[in-house]
Amino acid sequence: MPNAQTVRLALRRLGKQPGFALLAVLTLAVGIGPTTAVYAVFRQVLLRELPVHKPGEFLLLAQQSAYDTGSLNSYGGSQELYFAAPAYRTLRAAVPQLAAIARQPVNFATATEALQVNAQLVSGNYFSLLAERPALGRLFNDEDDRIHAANPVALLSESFWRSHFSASPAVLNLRVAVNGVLFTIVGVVPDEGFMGAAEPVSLFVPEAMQQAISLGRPDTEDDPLARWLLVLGRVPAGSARAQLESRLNGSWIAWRREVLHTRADKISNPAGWMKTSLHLTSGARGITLLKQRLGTPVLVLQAMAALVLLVTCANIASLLLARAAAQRSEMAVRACLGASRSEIVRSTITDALLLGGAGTAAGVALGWACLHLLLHMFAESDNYLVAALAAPWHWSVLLVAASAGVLTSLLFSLGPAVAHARVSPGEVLHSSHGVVGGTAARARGVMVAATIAGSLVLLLGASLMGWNLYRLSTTSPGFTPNHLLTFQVDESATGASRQRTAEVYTGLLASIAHERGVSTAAYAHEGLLSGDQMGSNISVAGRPNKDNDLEPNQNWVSAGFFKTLGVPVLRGREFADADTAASEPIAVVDQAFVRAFFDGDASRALGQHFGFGSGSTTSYPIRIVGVVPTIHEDSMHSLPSVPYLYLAYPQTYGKQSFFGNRHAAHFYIRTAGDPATFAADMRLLVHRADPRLPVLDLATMQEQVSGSIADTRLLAILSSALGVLAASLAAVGLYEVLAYQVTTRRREIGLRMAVGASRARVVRLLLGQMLRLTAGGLGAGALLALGAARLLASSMADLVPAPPLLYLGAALLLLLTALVAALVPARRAARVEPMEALRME
Amino acid sequence: MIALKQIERSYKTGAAQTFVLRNINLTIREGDFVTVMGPSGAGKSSLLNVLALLDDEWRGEYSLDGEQVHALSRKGRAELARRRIGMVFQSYHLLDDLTVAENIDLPLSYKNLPRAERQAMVADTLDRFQIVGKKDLYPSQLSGGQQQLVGIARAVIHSPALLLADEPTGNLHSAQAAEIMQLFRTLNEQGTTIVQVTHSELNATYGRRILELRDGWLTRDTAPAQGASGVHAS
Ligand SMILES: Nc1ncnc2c1ncn2[C@@H]1O[C@H](COP(=O)(O)OP(=O)(O)OP(=O)(O)O)[C@@H](O)[C@H]1O
Ligand SMILES: [Mg+2]
Repeated sequence: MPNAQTVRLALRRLGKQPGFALLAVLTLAVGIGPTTAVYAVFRQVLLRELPVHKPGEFLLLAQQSAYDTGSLNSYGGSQELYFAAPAYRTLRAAVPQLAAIARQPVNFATATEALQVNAQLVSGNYFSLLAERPALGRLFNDEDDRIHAANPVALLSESFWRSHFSASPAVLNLRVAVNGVLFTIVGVVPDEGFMGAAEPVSLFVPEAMQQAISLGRPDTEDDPLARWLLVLGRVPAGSARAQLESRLNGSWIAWRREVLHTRADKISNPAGWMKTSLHLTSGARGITLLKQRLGTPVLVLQAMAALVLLVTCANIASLLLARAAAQRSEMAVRACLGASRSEIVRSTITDALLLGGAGTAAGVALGWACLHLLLHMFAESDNYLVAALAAPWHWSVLLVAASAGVLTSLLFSLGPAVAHARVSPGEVLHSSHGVVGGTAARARGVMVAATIAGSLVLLLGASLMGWNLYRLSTTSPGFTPNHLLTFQVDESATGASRQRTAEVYTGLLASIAHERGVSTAAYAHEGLLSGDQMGSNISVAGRPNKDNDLEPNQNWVSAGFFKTLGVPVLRGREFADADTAASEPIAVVDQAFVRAFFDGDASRALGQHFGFGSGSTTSYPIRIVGVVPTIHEDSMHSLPSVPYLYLAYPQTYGKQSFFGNRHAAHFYIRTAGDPATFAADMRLLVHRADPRLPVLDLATMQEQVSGSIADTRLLAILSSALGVLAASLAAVGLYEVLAYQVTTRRREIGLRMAVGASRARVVRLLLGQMLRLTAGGLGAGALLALGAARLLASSMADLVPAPPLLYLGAALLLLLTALVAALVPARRAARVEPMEALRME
Repeated sequence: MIALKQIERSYKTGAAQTFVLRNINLTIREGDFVTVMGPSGAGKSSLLNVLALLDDEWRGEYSLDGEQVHALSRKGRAELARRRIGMVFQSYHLLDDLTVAENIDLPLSYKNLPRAERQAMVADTLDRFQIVGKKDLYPSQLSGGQQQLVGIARAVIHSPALLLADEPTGNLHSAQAAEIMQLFRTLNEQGTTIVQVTHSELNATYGRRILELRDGWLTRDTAPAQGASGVHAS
């Protein structure tokens, strides 16, 4: 290991070449910064464990069955993780260290404010299983399980308590309305729930209260065919998991058999129903919603950042090799004076470690700054991206930065160390003719080619992402997003009756339409581009169902919806005020629907009847009155994969959505001027309609559209930045190598001129060198990119390949950069005066 | 073949101007073998550089083979040098990563010659200098004398009319030097005009005419003065 003396000497050496040291530190920072920043996000999205005591001890139960039936209410994660409440109770009787949880977004209203928050329903033993202590008041216990539906107590999460109640102890015994039902706050708990940073939980209520806040959904507490609970367990390290698993399987199979008996009418495949097993999966990270949404893009980014780090390594290695060549005579003199090889190698490594340390520190600072910049840029986009970018700088992030620094410095000091170790004392006696380290020069060439290869891969990646962003941002959503404002309210979630809900929406719509500057307004149950969908199978009158019939998604929309959104009605008409609950049920369908059920013939679809469900008892009450184009209902990335049908909102109050009687309303307001200026008015109007009604997702439609492609934009921006970074590094590396060549090959260049080479010829010599390195790099890069493209195509199916010309352009850009980098040394070579260069040494 | 009229060459050193060649008037006939002598720093190399057209910054008149060099462009001079002049250096200046054959081929590679013709010329020259067996060796594998042999072979491969040599035997011991000088004499007999710089009286005996430079002045010329090319004694 280097001692103080070696370090002092190394510092002095570096101090004598501040330009070199600065360049090396900056280059390293540029390599380590992105790697560190992306790793912080990577950890947040893919590795972060729940902030609980010993997260590694947590398990999530998963079931695998050949056949299942009944309903499933999922809010993320694999479907295998969801259990019916009776199943949980049976399993818990066999293994006490199990708890159950579920998530539900709820309306949360105090006397002064109303919000939509995430609530987590938990079994009474949840907190004792987590070994959590209340920050205030009490937590739940087994008692809270017992009083089915009559125990309206709630806990606040500590962060919600701090942000919304200023950490006031007065929240204890406060009465709040949760989905319109009064609850008493009995405590505050330092827990953020099981869904990770993307969906932090603000409120905990006993799982036994599920029915009270479910807005009219049937009580599933005793329904063995309604799966909605996650079952988690805690197994101390070292105890026998296999044993636990078999015990659980025993009671699981017994329970399935019992259900098979009691619910025989509902289970059409008894053999498949019994072909089932339970297994334990890790619960250390909870339900990884962030990973599901952003896992692949973040992985891609991490790979790109790693590539930049490699490019940086190659670049610095080349820099240090040049310095090693320059220091060769110093090393030879030292070898003459009796320095051992190991001492010489040690001093080289000390140099590298010092540079590595400084570069790492600068890189961490750079990465931190970049991440904050990104967070600032994307603060408005969506909470998943924000949650990912708001990654904390955990010690492991710093560890990654430090190991990247140490590893790269050791790696890049290897070349120079070997070069130095080979210096023999005898070399001092020879004055070399500028053939310093032929192998070192070749090694530098390889390094430069490698940086070019890496840059090409990154630039091609950037082209791909850039193209996808371009395509998405130029894709018409199918409606006209400018001059459109949107927000969401949900009167039904305040516990209001259907009639009251309908009145509030109608009144609100009327008051909005009266605003000066508003041309039209409408509302729909599902928000456009929100990703939420509801669908069910249908049967068309006079058309036999087929096995491969698609299940259309549906949305419920008010009169004038299509006009407000700027969607043309291709055939027939859209909904009007006259379409009420009392009038004939009607629907508007999209072109995909016409293709799926009427062979694409819109005129045939008009006037036809259909009904929901299938089978002999199906009726066909709904008449098709209009056909509209297929629009980007749920995502900008692709058109819906299934047909869409639209029902008249007033005719849907008898229907149940996934959340029972929930009838949300996404309002769309077409304005004359800048829609953003109407935001405050909208809040005011909603407040007048119902002071307890929270306004959600208030934004212009343009913001929504660009928000829905924010992850693609992030990828495009970051990959371009990394690509440009790597290309600049490659250019700097190429410039250095060529400039160094011109210096060391002055004599050769002079001689070539003296025996007849023209200046143009000398320039060509240098450019030829550049071309060879660049071509080698481009070739290798293209091969690497092909491999990377394979991987990408399999993991990011949404991506469409860019036109080949764009890729060619990226390669040309790199070539051009290389040319510019070579121009200065080439011109310097052309200015060599043979007479000067050949002056006797 | 060569006529120099009032050639002057100076370097700016700070504010002052240092003359290294002063008022040089000189005629060299085709087939001559001239030796330039004089103390260190007298301007011998400077004169040779002017003759070789490597230097552009002199004043005066220089005609080579009837071409008025002073009136030629930089490119024109380079072209003229490429055709008519060969140079031999004290430290050989062979390229270390080229083989003997490739080093010899170098001047040809800068002319538009067909490949076959070039190969024939290289083979011919290797033969003439009796270094065929060494053609695939690298300079570092040769002795000093052999390296200079290659240097000369490279200088004459394109059959220049004028061969310029700056202390060609400066790094060689006497036996090797004698060999090189013998080679020069042979080349001269075959018609090449030679101008060599040397400190060696012995080497000078191979030539037919001796010039002496002192402080940039041409102070002695063993050739009979003729017309304007005579020596202007200081
Ligand atoms: N590039 C230059 N800048 C300034 N002065 C120069 C330069 N080149 C040569 N000189 C000067 O010109 C003078 C003549 O130099 P030159 O090389 O022609 O001498 P020389 O007669 O060849 O000497 P030697 O026998 O040592 O080779 C010297 O005083 C030298 O210092
Ligand atoms: Mg000289």
